Formats: sequence, C-alpha cells, structure tokens
Amino acid sequence: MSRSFITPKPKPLFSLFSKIWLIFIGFTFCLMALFNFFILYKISAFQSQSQQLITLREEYRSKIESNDIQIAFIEHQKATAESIYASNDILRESIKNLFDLVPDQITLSRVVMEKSALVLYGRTPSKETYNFLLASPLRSIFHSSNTVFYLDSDGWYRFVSTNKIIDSEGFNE
Amino acid sequence: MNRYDKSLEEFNLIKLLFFLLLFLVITLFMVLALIVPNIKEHKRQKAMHQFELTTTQRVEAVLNEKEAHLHHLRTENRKVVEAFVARFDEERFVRYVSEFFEEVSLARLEQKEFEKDFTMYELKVTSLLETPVKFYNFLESLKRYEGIIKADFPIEMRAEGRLIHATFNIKVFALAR
Repeated sequence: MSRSFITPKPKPLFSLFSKIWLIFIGFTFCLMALFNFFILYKISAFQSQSQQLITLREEYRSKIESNDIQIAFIEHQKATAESIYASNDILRESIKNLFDLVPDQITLSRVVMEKSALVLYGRTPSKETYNFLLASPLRSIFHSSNTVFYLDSDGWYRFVSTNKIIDSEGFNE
Repeated sequence: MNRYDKSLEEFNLIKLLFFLLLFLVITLFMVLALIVPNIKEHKRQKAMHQFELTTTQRVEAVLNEKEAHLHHLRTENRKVVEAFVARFDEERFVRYVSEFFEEVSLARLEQKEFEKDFTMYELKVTSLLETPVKFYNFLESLKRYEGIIKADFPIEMRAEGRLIHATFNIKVFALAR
C-alpha cells in the first residue's frame, strides 16, 4: 500500500551539473598531465641525446688524437726522407765539384773522402802546376791542406794531399 | 540522462562557485607544481643539448679537416711511406746497383736504432765503375729506389786500369718493427 501521492524517483549520487563539471575538470587534468608527460618525455630525450653527443665527441676526440699521431709520423718520415735525399744530392754535387776541380794536367789515382777530410793521391807534371791549379782551390775550401810530393822516375811528381775541414758536419750535411 | 534531473535549469550558485574554485585550484596546482618546473628543466636540457650539439659539430669539423689532411699527406707521400715500410732485400739492391756499376758486392756492417722509430742498416758497397758520372747517376737514382738509402762516408775511389774501384757505405732506413 502506497503512502505517497507521487511515485519515487531515482536520486543519483551526482547531478548532471556536477557530472559535467567533474568531467570538465577531469578532462583538463588529463590534458595537463598529458602535456606534463610530453615535457618529461622531451627532457628525457634531450638528456639521452646529449649523452650520445658526449660519447660521440669523445670518439671524435680519440680519432683526432690518433690522426694527429699519424700526421706527425708521416711528416717525420717525409722530413727524414727529404733530409736523406738532400744529403745524397749534396754528396753528388761535392764529388762532381771535386772532379771538376782537378785540371787535365793532373791525374788522380786515388780519392778518399771521409766525413770531414779529403785525401787525394795522384801525379802532377810539376809542383808549380799542382800548387797553381789544384792547391789554391783546395785551400779555399778546406781549413787545412797539406801536400807531400815524391819525385817519380819519369820526372813527374806523385803527391798525397790531405785536406781537412774543422768543426764541420761533413760534405753531405 | 535522467529526465527528472533539473540541475541544469535550477543550478546552485554556491555549487557553481565551488566547482570553479576546484577547477582553478587543480589547474593552478598542475601549472605551478608540475608544468612550470618541468618547462624550466626542459629549457635547461634543450640549451644543454644545443651546446653539446654545437660543440660536437665543431669537433666533427676538426676531425673531418684532420682526416682530409691525413688523406692528402698519405697520397702525397705514398712513395716515402711505402719506402720506409719496404723490407731491404740485398739481392734486389745488388741487381739495382748493377745497372750503374760492375762487380758489385755488399757487406753488412751494423744495424742500429735511428731516431726511435727507424732501424738503420749500414752496408759497405764495393764496385767497379767506368766513369764518375755513373756514380753521380747512382746517387741521383737513389730517390727513385723502393727503399730509403743514404750514401755515406768513407768513400774511396781508386784507379784500376780503365776502371774505377769504388768503395762506399750506404745506410738503409726502415721502420722499426
């Protein structure tokens, strides 16, 4: 038996107005949380990329060091080779100049070239020819120049000329 | 939707203000407590990343420059580099010297370290040659030989009939192994 004139209505916990507000607040909250997570993701991505860049840079630095060592070594090899080739050229020129220095009248029988000394053995028609044509240029090149003559049976002179350069690196340095 | 719900038509102002306040508080909390510090951190990390990127790009540019220089040096000095690496072969050298001299013989004198990176073999060459010009040509040709060779003292030349008997030292340079 009913005791009321109106039929009972269901009473929800939240009214439609409250629901709309709560949904709106919840949606805004979610949107902001999503934005926040996006920022956090970007921060983490930047951190990871920065770390990768640091590792890459260290790798580049070690490659640069290795390249520097190789460059220095090749340049050292180049300098050594050039100094050796130059030394050979100077030696060639020195020997050439020496033979050009000897006049036709004088015959050399033996030449000994040391680092800073030159010993010439040969024959000359006269001491004057030797002194005039060979001794003078030798004296202008070497610091000390001594010659010993021996009279030969045919009237020519055998000579031994010892010439030295003091404090020198040698003919090819 | 409940047809008996009249909350939209007959809304309570206090309730509206309460929800508005709740909304503002939550938004303000989210912005001030989370988003603002994170945006600051994001800016800091972005600047740091930019700095790392710029520095790395500069280092990369230096590396590229060095690699180009190294490549250029290797190409330009290929012959010298290969000459230092080449192992000295006495028989081959005698064959080479025979192009200039006659009756060539080699005698090994000593082997020692040269400037830390290289090994130097010293040999004595005994030969017969027709004219000194052959000796000049030999010295000139050493540039083109497959190894690095320096002609050295003592050099002795002695007349032997129509030929010249020449004795001289050579120094062969190779990479220390």
